[in-house]
Amino acid sequence: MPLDKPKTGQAGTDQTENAPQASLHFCVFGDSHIACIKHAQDEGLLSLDGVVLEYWGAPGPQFRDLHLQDARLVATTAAAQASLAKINPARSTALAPQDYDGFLFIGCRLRSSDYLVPLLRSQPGSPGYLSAAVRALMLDRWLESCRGYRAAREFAKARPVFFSPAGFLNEGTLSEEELAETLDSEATPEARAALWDEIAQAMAADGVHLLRQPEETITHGGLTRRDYATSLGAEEDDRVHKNGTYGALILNHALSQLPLVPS
Amino acid sequence: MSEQTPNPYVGLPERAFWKRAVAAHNPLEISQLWQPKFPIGRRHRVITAGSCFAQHFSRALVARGYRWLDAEPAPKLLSETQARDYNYGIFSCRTGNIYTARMLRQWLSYALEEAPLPVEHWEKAGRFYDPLRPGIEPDGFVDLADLQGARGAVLAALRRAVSQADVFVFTMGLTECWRHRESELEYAMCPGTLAGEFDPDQHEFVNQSFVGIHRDMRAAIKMLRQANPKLKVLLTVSPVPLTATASGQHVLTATSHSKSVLRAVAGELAAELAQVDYFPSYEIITHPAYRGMFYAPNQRSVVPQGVNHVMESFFACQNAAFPWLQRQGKGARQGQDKGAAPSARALQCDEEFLDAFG
Repeated sequence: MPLDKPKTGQAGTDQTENAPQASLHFCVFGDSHIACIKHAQDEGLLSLDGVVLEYWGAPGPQFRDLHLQDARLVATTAAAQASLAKINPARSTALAPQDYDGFLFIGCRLRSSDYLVPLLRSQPGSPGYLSAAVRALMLDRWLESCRGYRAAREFAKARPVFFSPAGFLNEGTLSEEELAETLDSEATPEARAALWDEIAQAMAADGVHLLRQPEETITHGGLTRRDYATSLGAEEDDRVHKNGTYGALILNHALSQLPLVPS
Repeated sequence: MSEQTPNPYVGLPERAFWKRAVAAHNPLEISQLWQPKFPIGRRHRVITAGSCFAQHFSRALVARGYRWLDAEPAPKLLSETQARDYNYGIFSCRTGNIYTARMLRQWLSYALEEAPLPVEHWEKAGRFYDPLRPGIEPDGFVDLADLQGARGAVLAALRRAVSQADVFVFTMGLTECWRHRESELEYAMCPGTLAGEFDPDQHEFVNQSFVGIHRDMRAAIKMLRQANPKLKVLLTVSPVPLTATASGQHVLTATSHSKSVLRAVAGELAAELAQVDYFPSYEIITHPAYRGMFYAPNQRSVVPQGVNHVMESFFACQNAAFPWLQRQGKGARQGQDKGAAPSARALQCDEEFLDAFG
């Protein structure tokens, strides 16, 4: 869906206080990674003038119970519906693209580490070089095997959809051995940019707009700086989740690209 | 004066006598075909290369929990079928089939001795093919840099494999090959078959002799041992007949000649070098004692039962020679789950979600 043609939502349930003039209904969808956006909202880090922001999704195992059926996402189990009831009571069973003016898919089991990190170790001249054909297969399978991405592609037929893959693993959560085995700590911003470009191109072909992990959040070639990691629990325990500062970077960037249409 | 035995055959083990070791047995019960020189246990890192029959070794080792070293593993994002199509996991490195002793020597000289890499490449329909392994990617490489980058990766993998391995299993496949007349580069396949163009002025047929193969194998083994002095070498000969011959002979007699030469070289090397052994998978499949039962109706393909019998014989002979290998097998399985366990990860996801949406 082109970004220059946003449509007004039909009947979004206003959960955001202080937004009486809101004209854009925007939904954040995902697994537990949507929490970083909510953290950002709770911490007042989001630019939500004229925006009604809502959430839809489920954590961990319940995320697997969200299925694409007839171009809608449907919660197929009571557990998933119970999760949804907490974050979006008006839509505890299903989500249709027509419910909102735009969507941010975040996380959704599409992990940057699974695709970019091995490819950053396979740059030309490196001992782990992968051929162009193999890289193309990897990108295709990375996207195609992700149910969340397939849903994003379906939703993008009707509404603008941004996709923010789960960020790189958090700094300080991997052993030295794991770092040595998996990471090219010398990977450059240019190398990452080239890979993000390939992803963006593939997603654009599906009408989906990639949101890259912001460069300022990246360290050691392919890790997320500890400043952007979740502060919940012991630091070294959680490799994947991000904090509100990270969430704000992602959502504010999405909204800045989505033209707001006054009601 | 000490008592003398009547003749040297008295007292020899049963396996030394055809009547008791072969004729008296069901072929599937013929045993002790091999007295291994060195143990190959689950703790040993084994690498495999050679003709297509070599891949059965890696599969059998992996299936039994042995440490087959995959020095160039497929990216995790590839499906099993995709990985196979791109020749990952077939041999320890993505060299493709190494049919001849000269090809092995070439590969090792590039990887271990920094010999100048061939500049020749083949093109077909706008794609680029490596004459050292033209079938390694189904549709070739996108350009020359891509081809060279991938070649750099396989050479790095080969160095890694040789330096880390305990045992190198090499299956000798062919004596017939095609070479460039001037550079003497040996091709994995005849130019003009899968890619490239055949030019009789540039390309010549060579049917390698016992002397040449023996020399190339000695040179290859020397490079291997220089890179890794502890490395043991286990040779086998592929029982798969030639698909075609360019020798002018009938393909059946050409096969007989080719395999006989390879078998003789393997036996000679095993007799000469303490760190080199020969495992008789070739005899198990091809010998008349087995009545051809392990060949498919085309009399060329080896049926799975044949492969299984070969590998069962391999492990039986190893265990007979080194009984402690069986005891060692228990609990030697590798693999540690790094990072959080799945249940712990699910818990983290729930916590994060609850904290945000409470």
